[in-house]
Amino acid sequence: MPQITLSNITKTYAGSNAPAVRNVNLTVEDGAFMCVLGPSGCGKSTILRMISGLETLTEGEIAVDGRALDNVATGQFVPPEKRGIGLVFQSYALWPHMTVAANIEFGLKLQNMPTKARKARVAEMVKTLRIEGLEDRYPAQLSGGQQQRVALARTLAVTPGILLLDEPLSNLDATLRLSMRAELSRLHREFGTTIVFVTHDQWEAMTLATQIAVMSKGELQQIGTPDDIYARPANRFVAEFIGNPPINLIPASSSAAQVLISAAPTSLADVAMIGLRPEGMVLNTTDGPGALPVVISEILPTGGAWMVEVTYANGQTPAHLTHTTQSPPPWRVGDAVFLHPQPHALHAFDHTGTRQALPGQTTPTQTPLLRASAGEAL
Amino acid sequence: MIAADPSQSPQAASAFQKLRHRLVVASTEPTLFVGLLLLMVFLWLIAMPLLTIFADIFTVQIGDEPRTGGTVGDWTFYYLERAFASRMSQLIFLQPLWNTLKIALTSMVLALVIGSILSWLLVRTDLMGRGWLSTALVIPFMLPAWTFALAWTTLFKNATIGGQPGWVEGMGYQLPDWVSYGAFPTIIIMTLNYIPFVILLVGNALRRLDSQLEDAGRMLGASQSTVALRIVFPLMRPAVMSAALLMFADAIGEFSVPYVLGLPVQFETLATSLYRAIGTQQTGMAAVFAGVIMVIGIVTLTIDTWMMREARRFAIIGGKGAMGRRQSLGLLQLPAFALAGMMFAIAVIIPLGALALSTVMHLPGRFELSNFTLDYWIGTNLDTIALRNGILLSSEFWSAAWNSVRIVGSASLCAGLLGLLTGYIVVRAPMRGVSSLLRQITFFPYLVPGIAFAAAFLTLFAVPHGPIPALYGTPWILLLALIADQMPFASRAGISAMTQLGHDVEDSARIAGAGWLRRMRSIVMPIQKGALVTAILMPFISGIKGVSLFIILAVPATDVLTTFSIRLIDYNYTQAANAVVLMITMIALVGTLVINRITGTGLAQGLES
Repeated sequence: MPQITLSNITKTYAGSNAPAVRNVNLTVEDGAFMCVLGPSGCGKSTILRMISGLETLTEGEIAVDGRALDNVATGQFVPPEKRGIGLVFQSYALWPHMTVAANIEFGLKLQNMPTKARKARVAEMVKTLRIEGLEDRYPAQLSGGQQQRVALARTLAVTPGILLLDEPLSNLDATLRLSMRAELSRLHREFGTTIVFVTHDQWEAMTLATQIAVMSKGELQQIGTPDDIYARPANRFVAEFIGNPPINLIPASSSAAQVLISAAPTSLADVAMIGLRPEGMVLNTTDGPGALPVVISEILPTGGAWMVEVTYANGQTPAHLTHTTQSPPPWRVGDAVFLHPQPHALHAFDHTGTRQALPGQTTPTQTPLLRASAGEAL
Repeated sequence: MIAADPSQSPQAASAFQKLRHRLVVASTEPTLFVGLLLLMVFLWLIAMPLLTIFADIFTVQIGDEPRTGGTVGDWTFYYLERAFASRMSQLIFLQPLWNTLKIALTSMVLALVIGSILSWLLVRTDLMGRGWLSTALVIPFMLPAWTFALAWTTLFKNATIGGQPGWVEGMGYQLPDWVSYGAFPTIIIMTLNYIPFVILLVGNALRRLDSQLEDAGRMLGASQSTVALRIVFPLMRPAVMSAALLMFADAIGEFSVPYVLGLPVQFETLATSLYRAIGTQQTGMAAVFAGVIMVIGIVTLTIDTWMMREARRFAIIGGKGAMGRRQSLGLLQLPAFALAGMMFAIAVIIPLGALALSTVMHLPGRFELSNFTLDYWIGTNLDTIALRNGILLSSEFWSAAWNSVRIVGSASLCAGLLGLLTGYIVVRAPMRGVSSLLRQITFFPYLVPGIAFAAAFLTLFAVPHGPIPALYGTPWILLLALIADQMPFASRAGISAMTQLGHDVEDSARIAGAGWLRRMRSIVMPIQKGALVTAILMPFISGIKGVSLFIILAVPATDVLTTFSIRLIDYNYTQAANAVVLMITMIALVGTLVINRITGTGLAQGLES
């Protein structure tokens, strides 16, 4: 069963000094649904293309089940057409001159599958992906969602042990995204395929993946379950990148940060920045330890939830924080209230940006280093 | 859990290991190999002949031993000296050079002025009938230039060289030689032939010029003349300059028009001198003429490339809302329409009409019913020495037509396929050097006028080289020369088609398990069907109407339509010659219309970039 191992892989594109991917180590266990998440240009698509063989390594090794597909030191390279790995392109890359059926059939033809079995397989895929009735259409006659299903059907028809998805939902509208997301989860359950997908959309990553690898500027920042990544971010980048609206960050030296942290039993000398999740706080009129006196500066309804902007003006530098709540806030702009941080939502980062566990908090789950294990499917 | 663990820093692969890895990767894809193969083919087809020309200038040629005092192959300045600094220079070199520059510059300026006015009328005014006029006025561009030269002689030939007189003389008017032959008619014909070129290039630029840019200027308080001078003119300058230089480069190498119109009065240009030198076995002098034409062509087009690069700096931003507001002509409407209509009459109706009519008349210019006949098309047993049947019934015509289609057709097919392959390699080659070299070398024949190219091929392939036998007199030399000559168009079409294709479609086929050949067959070629048709048809049309290559490389065994008609002209079979030319014109016209239908784009796009 396919387990993908990336060992010390680096990719530097010709004519560029900075590597697009720098020294990444990652193991994707068999049957995992792994998401590589990061802002655009962080190297996540490059990783996918290197696993598929469309890009070659500059350093390191990619192996599947211990068999090297690309190894710079030993000079091994298996071209993409011989890897048997499925890849669904962000642009879908359907062949415009072939019908839907011909698109799905192409890979089977290359495997020399007899005509009868081929037709049966196409019919099966069409049914699984719910694109019945479109068999004789050309890609240009399909909607974005239909095109994506065809791209998926084409890739899954040859039953690859590994399926790579490049921003699978990014070209779809909101409703289609929801149904495709459910579809992908279902496919993962049904086929038991090892899936790696890349996205810049944290919501997509959080809801789909069993494991998330967060990347920034070509380097791996953290690997963990969606819950890990959110509740125990490894560093400031991860904390900022995950969460919407983004985490409130306040310099530790400011008086606002001093108040917020005063509730913690021990003070941390090394802390440079304090982070507080917008939903991890309570606003009320009672003072208490660690409570920050603030003034409501803005109330923005977002449909079923509210964003409350507050300002702390007591220190030399005023601090602006965002709070989100599910119940209608009973305040008006200009009201003075107290902000109570919830201990689990408070994060401390040192000068390098690394997260320091506050008393009572845990560091990220202690799975073996650099391992992302198969979790429960959604 | 932090992923990047500095203590685990890997051992970097050595330079040798990296090189080996790259070679292993490259060996899984034939792209590089195919690219190198293509490069070798083009070095042989394009670079070698041109280098031979330059080498011939400086080495003693067969038959010139006594004059140069050396043996064949020795280093010599004899030819250069003879051309530039001998008693004969004035006659054999400087006069043709001067004639060439004179007609090139004059026709360029005239075409620029008339063409710019016409394109402004067509694009920026409410000129009536501008829709069909903008198609009608570019028709001459699709026709071979010497069609007009023949039309001129049909109308204005005088008694100086005997044979049938032109219509005007037939009606009883005497014409001086300078009207009938030489510089004057050559300039007029070339101007007429270039005007559509200006209309296409300048018209396109005018169309792209957003009238909001002018409005913005007016809103800021600029007067109409300031807007014209400071906004419109600078933005139009690149297109105008580019049109001028391309015309000039083309005019320098123009052979057919001065050949038809200049010969009777010994009006020589560089191109006709080159032809004459080859005809009289003066290989060394031919090389000098070819070299000079090439150098002028290369210099001109280098300037053009350089200026186009400069022009990109102020590429017009936006363009989405490019609004072409039209200026009302008001009272000038009629005069303007008359001007455009007259141009159409002069450039299309009169020449083609005269040619067509001349083929159904016994005696020129006499409009009596008894004078009309279809003999020259379908007659039999005519009272002529040769060609006793009408051309549609003569075997010579059909064998020439078949030769044309066969030779030009297979050359275009090869050029089209090579062009598409070149496009593929240029876009996909893993080594940047290979793709830029391929791009440049396939474009190079564009810098070299056809007549010089033909001379180069003649010198190189007239004698056996290694395993390749002497090709002169076989269809092969024509075929190879045509392929090489058409590569600029074919490779441009291929490159632009492949650039638009994008990686993904092919990558996804790789993922599906398709090897290189399979991808070419099942994915790339089918998708590029339209581009391939264009890349084949474009060379076909330009090959069918071309003269320069054939007149030097064709022999009676490989007679094609163009050489057949030129021979008919030489023997004064005016009607038959004109009939053949009309047939060529028809093929060219229909072919162009087919391309436009297939690609859905106008001619103008193909001319730019």
